[in-house]
Amino acid sequence: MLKLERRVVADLTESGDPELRRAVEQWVDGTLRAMSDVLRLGVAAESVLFSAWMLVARPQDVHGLLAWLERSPVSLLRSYPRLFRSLVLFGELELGPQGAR
Amino acid sequence: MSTVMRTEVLVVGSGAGGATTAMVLAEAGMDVLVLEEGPWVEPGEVTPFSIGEMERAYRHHGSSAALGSPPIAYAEGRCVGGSTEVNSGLWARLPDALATEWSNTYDLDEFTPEALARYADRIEALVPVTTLPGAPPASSSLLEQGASKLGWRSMEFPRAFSYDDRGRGTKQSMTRTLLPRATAAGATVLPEVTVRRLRLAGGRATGALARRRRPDGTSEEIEVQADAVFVCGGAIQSPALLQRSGLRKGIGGGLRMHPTIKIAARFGSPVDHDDVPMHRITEFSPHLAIGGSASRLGHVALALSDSGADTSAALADWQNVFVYYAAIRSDVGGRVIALPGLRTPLVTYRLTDSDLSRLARGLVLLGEALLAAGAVELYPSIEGGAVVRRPEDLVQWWDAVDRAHTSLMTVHLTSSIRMSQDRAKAGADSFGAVWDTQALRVNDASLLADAPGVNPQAAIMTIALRNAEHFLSTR
Repeated sequence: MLKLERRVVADLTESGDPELRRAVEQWVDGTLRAMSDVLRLGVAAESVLFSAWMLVARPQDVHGLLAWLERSPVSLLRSYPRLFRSLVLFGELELGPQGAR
Repeated sequence: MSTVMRTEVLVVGSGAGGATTAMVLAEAGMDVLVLEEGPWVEPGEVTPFSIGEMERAYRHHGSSAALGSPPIAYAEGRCVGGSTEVNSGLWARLPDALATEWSNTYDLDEFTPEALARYADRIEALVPVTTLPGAPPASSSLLEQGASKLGWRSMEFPRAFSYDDRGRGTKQSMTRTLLPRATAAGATVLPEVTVRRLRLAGGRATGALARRRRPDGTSEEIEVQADAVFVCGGAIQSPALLQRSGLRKGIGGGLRMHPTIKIAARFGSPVDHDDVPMHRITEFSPHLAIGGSASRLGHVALALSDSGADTSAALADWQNVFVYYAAIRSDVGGRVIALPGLRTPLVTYRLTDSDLSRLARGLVLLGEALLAAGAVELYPSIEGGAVVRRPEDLVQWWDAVDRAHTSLMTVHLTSSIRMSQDRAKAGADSFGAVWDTQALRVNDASLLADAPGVNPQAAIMTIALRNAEHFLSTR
């Protein structure tokens, strides 16, 4: 996972349980690694682009970045937080106590 | 330096098509080697539809997507037994009308409904196909109730399952049925082997080059020498392998799927979550299918979140929520393209405005059925889509299904190397023999002329049995 991706996952994970947070990060990392080349390249390119944009527009934190992307009229930009939100939500629930059956 | 292996028949892939091929040829006395990219997953090792199963038995952890507007998420099995290990086991023969249509459109030899029925009978003698021994679970009977109240047809689909005296079901996937028969007849199944490309010489397939991952994490190169090769990797991997091997004519261009839109439906009482519904609404088949999806906690949460609405109350009440779908047959289709330097192919898919209109109609009809069945809230898989509580509000969804806000997915992928006696229309002949390349056959979902509108496993196995026996008869 790239640095921004790790920060996005940390921001989206709601649980305070360090073990669960680590498991969610591993799940997202594993899924990004397992992704098809084209999709992974696309996600990585967006991550690099958004990292650079955050450097330029300094005041934005990760939370602000995600909120901004989610409001974007461009569906490709909205797909970035959507992907990470889905992976984190699924991982957090399925790896947490309710999902572990 | 490569390890050299020698076999009469190399089968690439061990799913519905590959297992059927391997069994038929091994039982006919041929020396058969099956190479499977995924791992061997012990029965019971992972819980169906769990995150563990996604990591262990799905390609890309189940996170694949066809690029397009909108993109379509899809999932493929990647383990010994292929997608038969991870699907719902629902069983539906190819509808006679489609067999006739495909036969006429693609000039297919020996593809009459009567001929296919004889092969289907034989497959069903090998793979137990049954209905539930008792009452259906609530998630399934809700579909039946909704359809009944609206005067629509619905039915319980049989499944490739067997049930013990206490009614506990076991899915009859390939690792429990045809692969043991194949190995008992002498076939060898090697998991964790990725076939990189086929060996072709003088217009003939002569084997494959592959990489095998050892249990200690190291790998070895394998060269397989074979008299004949069957490619059975499914509708994405088979065309990608043929393209990587230099074969492109009629390969990868006709991809079809069942684009699927979902609703997370909240009811007033708990719904089961351990299985998928066996009932489907068949009133609009084969062009529109309505059924139910895997609905573990994670799936329910994802389906609820698609709408972007506040789902906290519904998620807290998740035991009362189940995910249902409407799936269509689409107009145009997509492509599988193996790109130089990349391990995995690019997959694209194009939906027409008519397709989107059919998806909107499917969503509204599904919503009607679920409200009739007693649902109190419906969350559509449309970003910004209204949460609906009354039938008169469903009309809002007609305009909400668009290219920018609709989440679609599928688990049925077909038709990327169609069969036809007219070589201008397809990559393979009526029995899966790849045009212009001797000793090379495809025998999986890629061959289907179109997405069949029903779960394709039965059609894949029926056609695979037919084609494998044709191969034996023409040796």
